[in-house]
Amino acid sequence: MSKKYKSIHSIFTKSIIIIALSIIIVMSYTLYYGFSQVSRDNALQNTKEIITQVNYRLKGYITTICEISDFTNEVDFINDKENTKEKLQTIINSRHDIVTIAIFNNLGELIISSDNEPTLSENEIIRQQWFYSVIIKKEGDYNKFFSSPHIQHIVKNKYPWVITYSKKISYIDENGNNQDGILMIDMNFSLISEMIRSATLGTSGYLFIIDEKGNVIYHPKQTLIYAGLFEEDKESIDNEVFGTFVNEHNNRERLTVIQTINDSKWRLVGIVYIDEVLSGVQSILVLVVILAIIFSIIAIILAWFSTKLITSPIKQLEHEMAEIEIETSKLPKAIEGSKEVNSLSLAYIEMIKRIRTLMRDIVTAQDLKRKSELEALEAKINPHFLYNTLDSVVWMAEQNETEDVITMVQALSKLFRVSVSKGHEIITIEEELEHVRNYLLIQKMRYQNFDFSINIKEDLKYCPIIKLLIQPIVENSIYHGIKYLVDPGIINIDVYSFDDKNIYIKVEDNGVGMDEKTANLLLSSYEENNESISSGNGIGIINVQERLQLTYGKDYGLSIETELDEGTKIYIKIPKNEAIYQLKVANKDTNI
Amino acid sequence: MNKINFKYIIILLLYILILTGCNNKAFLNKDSNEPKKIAFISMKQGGQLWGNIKNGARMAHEETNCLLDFYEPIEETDSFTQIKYLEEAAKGDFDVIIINPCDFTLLSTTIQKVQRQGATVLQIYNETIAYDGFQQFKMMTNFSPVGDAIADFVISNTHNQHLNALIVGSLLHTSAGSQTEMGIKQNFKNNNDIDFETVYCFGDSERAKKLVSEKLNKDDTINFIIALDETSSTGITEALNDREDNSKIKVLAWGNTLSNITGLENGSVDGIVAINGFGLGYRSIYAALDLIDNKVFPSTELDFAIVTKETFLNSRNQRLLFPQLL
Repeated sequence: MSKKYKSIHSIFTKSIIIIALSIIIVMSYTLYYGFSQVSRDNALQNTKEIITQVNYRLKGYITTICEISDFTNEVDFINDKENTKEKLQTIINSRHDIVTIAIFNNLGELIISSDNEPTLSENEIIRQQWFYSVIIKKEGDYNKFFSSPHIQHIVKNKYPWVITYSKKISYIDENGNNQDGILMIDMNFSLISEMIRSATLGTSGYLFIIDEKGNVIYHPKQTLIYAGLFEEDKESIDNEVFGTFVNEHNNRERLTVIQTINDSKWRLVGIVYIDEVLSGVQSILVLVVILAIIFSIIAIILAWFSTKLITSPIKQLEHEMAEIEIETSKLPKAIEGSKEVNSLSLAYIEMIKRIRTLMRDIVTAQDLKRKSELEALEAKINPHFLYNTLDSVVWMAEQNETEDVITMVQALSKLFRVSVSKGHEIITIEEELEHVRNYLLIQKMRYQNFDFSINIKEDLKYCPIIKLLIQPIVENSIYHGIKYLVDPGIINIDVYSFDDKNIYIKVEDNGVGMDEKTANLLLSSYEENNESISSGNGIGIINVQERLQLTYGKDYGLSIETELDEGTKIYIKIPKNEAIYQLKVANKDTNI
Repeated sequence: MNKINFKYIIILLLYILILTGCNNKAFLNKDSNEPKKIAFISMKQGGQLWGNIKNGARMAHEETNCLLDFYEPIEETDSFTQIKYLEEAAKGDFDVIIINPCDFTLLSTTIQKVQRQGATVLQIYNETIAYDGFQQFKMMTNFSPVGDAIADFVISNTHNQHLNALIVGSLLHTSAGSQTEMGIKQNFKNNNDIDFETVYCFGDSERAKKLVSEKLNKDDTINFIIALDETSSTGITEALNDREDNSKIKVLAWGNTLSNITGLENGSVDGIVAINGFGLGYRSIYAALDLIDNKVFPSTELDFAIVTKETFLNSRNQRLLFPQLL
């Protein structure tokens, strides 16, 4: 299976597209991560700022509560009960965030309260977390306590959700003894939660407060948490204690920022959902992706056209080369385009020109070679015959057969005239037959034992033929056919044609004939017939065959019909061409 | 399409995929779904329990961004209005209808009918009669454990005295009432020394008050009154308030109404059955959304507690009695 080569245009286009698209992808990703990082950093910064603000507010609030609680340092609320109660009432009236302020002794007995309503029993009081958490503290401990949100049931028929601040205090009782007591301030939970809820972190981000044990003080989903329907990621928050981290909770990635709130042991936690943070980036990135796709399409189109621009002259050159293969005479055109392709094109034109020159030289050389070969073949005929004829003339002169000498010398003269033919290779059939006739005449005078006839149609007389074709065949008939007969032999030469294409010359003798092997040897080439050539047997026929096929091609040549003791027929097939003018070499003396 | 073109299309698609991959959230996380529509047919307007259930549903609605329409008959006995609302909701393009059926017989036929018409109905708190081949979606409708817990509470609070209990229910044909009553009865059957009687006020607290007064006047051995719902509870506390001496009678009220809580505080009520209505409403919305998505919603038992004066300060009980913090 042959390898399928890709076009240079295809390779260039694909390469450019791959590079361009890779760059676009890398840029898109870089842009995405750049935007994401910036957004995350901004979100972190914003969250920190918001948390710091809320923290500051809460810290201020807690400081205020602590300051309020400090009134116990100055007031003698045992001996000046009415005045103290009035003060507490003033605080309650001016601060909607405070529900109740009360002071209890160590046994849970109420000493003074901002509320007029009766309170719960001592037993119920001391069971409350805000009470016992402070009472068990030792001196030097952090003596303040902030409770989790709870229903404050200290006042009958009132059930507010409060966060209780409690603090261990000292006071002097009616007897002048120093006593420990507990100050309790109930803070309205709804007002505290409102303070935090007003700070928003995105659409679904939120802030919440937990105490040192991880109990939720405030959470926007506190109702759900209390109903067991939502769980905060306490584990991660407890592990981190303080700082910033990103983790996944309930299948959503979120950023958590934790800060501590001074004076309370509370921690303020801000949660920001990353998908919300990136939502702004997402919309920008949608645009980026759309642009990336548009740029990709443009890149593909540009890659296509730019490579087309580069490769088009190359393709044109390739086309020109292909045309030269088909139309060999055409000279390729110079290709415009890049400098390199233009140079290539000009070099190619030069190369074609040189090749053609070289080819012409080769053809000329080949022609010359063939001509010299033909001349060499023709030259092989003459020495044989001339020697034998002159030998016969000498012999006849010695016998004083003057007439015969004259006839033979005249015939020889005509024979050579045709042979020379003024240097022409092509003569008329008439002239060729004249040449044969002279040859047969000479041979008849020499051997006396055969007769001959030559027949030709009038319209074939002036058809062209390469000279000296028939004589070697006739010679072969004499020397290898008739010569061995006891009776006189006959040689008939007929020239005829069946159509307008071919002419057939038949040389027939009634000699001894030959076997099939010999006949085949006569029709084979020089190279295959070295043995025959070396022995001089049939060399004339082989020459004729070579010359015929060199001149007219493989469709033309000799064919032999022979039978031992019966005779031989040799056919010469030549093309029937337009009649040519006779050279009149044979007409100088027509008396023969 | 020849092989080469197909190859190029695949490469192009892969390229777009890679390109959008960096940004998949922007393309894929677009919530293309229309908000789900849920109809919520309550048993009645007002009432602490139904208020809590609605609040829970509202909270879930805010979280899920679904569309939530409430349908509320004025009276809890008004089964015909419930049927009308159910048919109306079925004709509307609600994805799910959540209903608290007030009559397990009458509503059953209509629920079957609308379900056959293609509506999805989720029953909460109460359930209708289940017929063969009729698929019911229900949530927190098993009240037998509540009845059992009530019986345990009652027995443990009679201190080896002979128990003569009066059970006061509101509606005869609600599964919650029936199952609770059955739970109590099953538990009481194990003890031969218990007398009890059940009466129904049919959604009328005045009638409950009258029934309780009559029963107490007729039988002075009644030493425990059990409410099976808020309406009955109101009637019971009002009936007892009219009497001079209730020291021998213990009361187990139902629901986190203010009168029950103050009753618990002043000692006129010995215990309150507190149901986590907020959780029920909240979970019902998520269950409805699961139904829309052809998911199986988690099976959840009813969250309840019997709160006494001693356990009132317990943080869990506080949250059950006062589910709304703000």
